[in-house]
Amino acid sequence: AEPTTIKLTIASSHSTGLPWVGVMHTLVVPESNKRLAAMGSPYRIRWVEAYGGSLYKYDNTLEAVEIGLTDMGWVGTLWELSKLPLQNVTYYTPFATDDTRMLYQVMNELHDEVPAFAAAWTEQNQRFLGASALDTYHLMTNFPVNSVEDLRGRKILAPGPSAAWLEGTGAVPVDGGLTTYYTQIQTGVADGVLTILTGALPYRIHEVAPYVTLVGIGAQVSGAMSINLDTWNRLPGDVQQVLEQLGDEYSEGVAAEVIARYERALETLREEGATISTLPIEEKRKWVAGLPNIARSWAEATERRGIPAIEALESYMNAIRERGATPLRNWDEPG
Amino acid sequence: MLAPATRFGQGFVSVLRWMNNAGVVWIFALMFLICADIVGRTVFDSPIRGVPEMVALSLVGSVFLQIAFAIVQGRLTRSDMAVAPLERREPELANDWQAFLAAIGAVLFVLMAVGAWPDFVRSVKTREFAGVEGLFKVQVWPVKLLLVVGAAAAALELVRQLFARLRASFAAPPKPARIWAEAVVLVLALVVFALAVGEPTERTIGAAMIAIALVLIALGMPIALALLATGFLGIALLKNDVGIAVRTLSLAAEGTISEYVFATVPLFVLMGLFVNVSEIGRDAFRAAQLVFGRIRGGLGVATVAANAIFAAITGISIASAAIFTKIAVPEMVRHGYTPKFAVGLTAGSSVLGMLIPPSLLLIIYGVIAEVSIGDLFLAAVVPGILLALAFAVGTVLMAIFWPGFVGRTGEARAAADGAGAGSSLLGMLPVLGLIVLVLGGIYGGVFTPTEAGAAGAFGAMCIALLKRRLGGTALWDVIRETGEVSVAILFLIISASTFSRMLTLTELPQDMAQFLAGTGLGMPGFLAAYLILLVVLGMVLDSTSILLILLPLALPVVTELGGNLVWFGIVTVIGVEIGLLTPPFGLSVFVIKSSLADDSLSLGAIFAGAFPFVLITTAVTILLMAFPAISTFLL
Ligand code: NA
Ligand code: NA
Repeated sequence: AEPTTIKLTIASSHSTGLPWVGVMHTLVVPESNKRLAAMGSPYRIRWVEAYGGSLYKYDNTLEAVEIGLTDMGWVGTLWELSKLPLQNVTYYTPFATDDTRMLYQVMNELHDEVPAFAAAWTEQNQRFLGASALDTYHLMTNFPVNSVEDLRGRKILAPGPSAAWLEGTGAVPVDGGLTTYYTQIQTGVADGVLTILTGALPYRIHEVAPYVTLVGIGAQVSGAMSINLDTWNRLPGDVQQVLEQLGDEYSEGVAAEVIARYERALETLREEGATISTLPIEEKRKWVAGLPNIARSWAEATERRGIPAIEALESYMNAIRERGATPLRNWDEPG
Repeated sequence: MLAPATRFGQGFVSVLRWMNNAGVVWIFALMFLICADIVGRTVFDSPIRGVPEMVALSLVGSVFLQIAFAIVQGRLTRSDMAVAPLERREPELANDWQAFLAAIGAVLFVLMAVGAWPDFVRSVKTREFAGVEGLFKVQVWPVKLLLVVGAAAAALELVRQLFARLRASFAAPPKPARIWAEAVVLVLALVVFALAVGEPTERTIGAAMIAIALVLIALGMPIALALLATGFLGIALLKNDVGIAVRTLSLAAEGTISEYVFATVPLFVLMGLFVNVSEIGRDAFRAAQLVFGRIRGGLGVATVAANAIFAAITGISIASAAIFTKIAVPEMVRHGYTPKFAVGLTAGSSVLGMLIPPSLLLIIYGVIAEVSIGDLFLAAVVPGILLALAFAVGTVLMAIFWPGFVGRTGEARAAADGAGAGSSLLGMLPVLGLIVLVLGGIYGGVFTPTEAGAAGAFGAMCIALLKRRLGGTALWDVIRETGEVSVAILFLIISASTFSRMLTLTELPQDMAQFLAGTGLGMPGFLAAYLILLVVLGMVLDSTSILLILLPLALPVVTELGGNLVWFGIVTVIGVEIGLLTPPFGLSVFVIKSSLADDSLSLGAIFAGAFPFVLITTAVTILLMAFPAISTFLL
C-alpha cells in the first residue's frame, strides 16, 4: 500500500552553513524516511524545510516551536536565560570541561534523568530531542597574554553571561556580537574578545586580534533540536521512535562537525600568522579562583523563581566528573 | 479622521491620545538613553548595562501605546487610488466598504490581544526577564501588558469607527443597490470558503493570499492590515489550525520589532525631523542652487545634489521625500517646472537616502546576511554618487529635450543670481558637522550604525537649538511626528513579517529560489531574474518585507555562485528601492502625496512623474550588477 505521509515543518533562525542547522538538513531529514522504510513503517514524513530565518529570527526560536509555527526546529537556548535557565548551566560554570562531545552527552542524559530539565521544555509546549554543543572559549586579543594580570584594565568583548567570566580579572567586559567584533577591535572600542574559534575564524577576527591565547574557559551547550508537543502527541509511535533516535545522532553530528571545524580553525589561524599560545595551568587556576561563585548565585536566584537550579547544578557537575572531567572548580560546592 | 460623535467616544479618543503621547515621549527618551550609554562607555569606561534589551522592549511598548491613536488619525499607510474616486462618486458605498474594513481590522486586533494574553499571564507567573541573571535583568511583563492593552484599544477604536459608519449608513436615504460592490465582497468570501473546505495545495493558498492582499490593498485597506489579515488567514489554512495563526499574530507583534537595530527607524526619523526644523535641508538646497542654478535644469540638479548631501545624514528615504517635498517642490514649481516633474524628481532623489550611508536598509541587509554594516556603508558610497550623477545628467537632458514634461526651466536661471552666496555656503557648515558626527562616529568606532541614529538625532537637535528654531511647540511637534511616522513603519514591519512567514510556509519563495538556482544561466541569469523579482515584488510590498522574504533564499544562491555578499547588498538595496517609486505600492510616492500642501496632484500623476527616475535607477542597478568593482574597490 501507499505509505501515509505526515507533513512536518523543520526550521531555523540560521542558515545551513552552521553545524547545528546543517545537520538537521543533512542527517535528520533524509535519514528519517530511510529508517521508517527500513522498519516497515506505513508512514513517511514530507518535510517542509525553512532555514535561514525566513520563518522567524534568532530571538524567537523557542516561541516558534512553542506555538507550532514550525513543528521542529533548532532552539537557541543561550538566548533563553529566563525561560530555559537550567539549559544554560554551562555558561555559569566556566572552566568545567573543554570536551564538546562529552558535554552534549551529559546534557542529553540530564534531560532523561533529571525531571526539571525535560519539564522546562514541557512548560514551553515542546519536547527536547537533542542538544547542540559548541567548542571551548578562548581569548583573542591585540596584545600578548601570558598571565591573568595582563588582562587588567583591558576592554574585552564578552556578551551575555560570558561577561561574568571576567569578574575578578580586572578586565572591562564590552557588549558585542560576532558581526561587530572585528570593527570594535579595529577601532579600539575593545582590545580583545572571549570567543569560540570556529565562530571567530569566518569573521577574520585574527586580522585585528592576532594573539590567540588558548584558555579553555569551557565548551558550551548553546541550543537543542526540539519538537512542538502537540505535533509530538499526534505522531505515531514508530515515527516518535525514529525522531528520538535521530535526536541523539543529531547531537553527535553537530559535535563531530564542531570538533572538525575547531581543528581546522586552529590550523588556519596558525597558517595565517596568528600567534597561538596556551595559558599556563597555574594562571588558569588563578583566574578561576578569582571568580566569585557565579554558579551558586545564579542557582540561588533561579531557585527564587521556583526552578530547582541547585539540584540541576549538582547533577550537572556530578555528571561531568563521573565521565572523567576534572573541573578547575567544583561550582556545586559553596564558597 | 472619523471624529467621535458621542461624549463617550470623545473621552475614549482622548485616552488614546494620552497613550500615544506617552509612547512618543518614550521613543524620544531612548535617544538620551543611547547617547548616555555612548558617552558613559567612551568617556568614563562605564557603559550602561542592558541598553539593547531596554531599547528593544521599549520599541514594542511604544508602538502598542501609539497604534490605536494612529488608527484614529488614519495614519496607517493605504492606497487611495480606488477609494478616493469612490468616495467622491458613491459616498454611501464607500462608507459601507470602510465599515467592512474596520470590522476586519477589529477582528484582527481582538485576535492579537487574545493571543498575547496567555503569554502575559505566564510572564507574570514565571517572573520572566530580559537580560542576564547576575548582571542585568528587567521584567518583561509590563511590555506584554502594553501589547494586550494596545491591541485591545485598537480593536475598540475600530469598533467605534464601525458603529459610526453603520449609523451613517442607516441614516442615509435608501440607495440603489450596487451589484458590483456586493460581488466583490461575495467573491472574496467565496474564495476564502473554497480554500477552507477544499484541499488546496500550499502553493494555491500562497497564490490566493497574494491575490487577496493585492485586491484589499488596491481597494484601500491599510496595507499593514491587509498583510496581517492574509498572513493570518493563510497560516490558519496552511496549518489547519486557527490557534497557531492567532499565536503567530501575537508573536509577530511582540517579536518582530523587539530588536535594537529597529530603533534606527524612530531615531533616523527623529534626526530627519530635527534636521527639517533647523532648516539644514533648506541650507543645503540653497547652496546647491547657488552652485547649479546657472545651468539648464539647474534647480532640478540642485534638488538631486541637496538630496545626496542630505542622504549622508539620514538613513531613511521617506525622510528625504517628506523634507524635499516641502523645500524643493514649491521652489521648482515657482520657477516654472511642472508640478509633475518636481514631485517625480523629489521621489526619485529620495532613493539616494537609503543608498548613500547611513542607511536603514543596508543595516537590515547586514543583519540578515551577517555581513559587516561598516563594509556595506563604505561600499555604497560610490554607487550612491553614481546614481546622483545619473539623476543630475538625466534631469539636464530632459530639461533640454523634453521641456513639455519638465517645464519652463529657463526662468530658474535668474533666480540663482543675487547676493548671499557667502552665507549660503556658510549654511553648509551644520550639514558637514552632522556628516562628520554620524559617519566619523561609525568609522571611528565611537558608536555602531544603530547608535548613529541616536547620536545624529542628538546632534541635529543641538543644531536646531543653536539656530533657535526649536521652541517648545516645535519640539513637541517633532517628537509627536516622529512617533506617528515610526509607528506606521514599525507596524508595517510587524504585518509584513506575518505575511512573509505565511509565504515561507507555502514554500512559494523556496520554489522560486530553486527555480532561479536551477536555470543554469549562472550569475548573469540569476541577477536578471533577481532584478525582475525585486521590481515585481517592489510594486506591491515595502522594501523591508522584500528583504525579509527574498534574502534567506537568494543569499545561498549568491554564495553558491561565488558572489561577494557586500556587493550583493548594494545591488539588492538599490534594486529594492525601485519599488519605492512604482505603483500600486510606492512608499516614497505615498509620503510625497501626504506631504504635499494641496491635493491637486493625484497619486497617479506622482507615479508618472517618477517613472523616468525608475528607468534611471534600473539602469544604474544593472551597471552595478555588471561591474561589482564599482562597489567593492573601496573595501
Ligand atoms: Na543615507
Ligand atoms: Na512599488
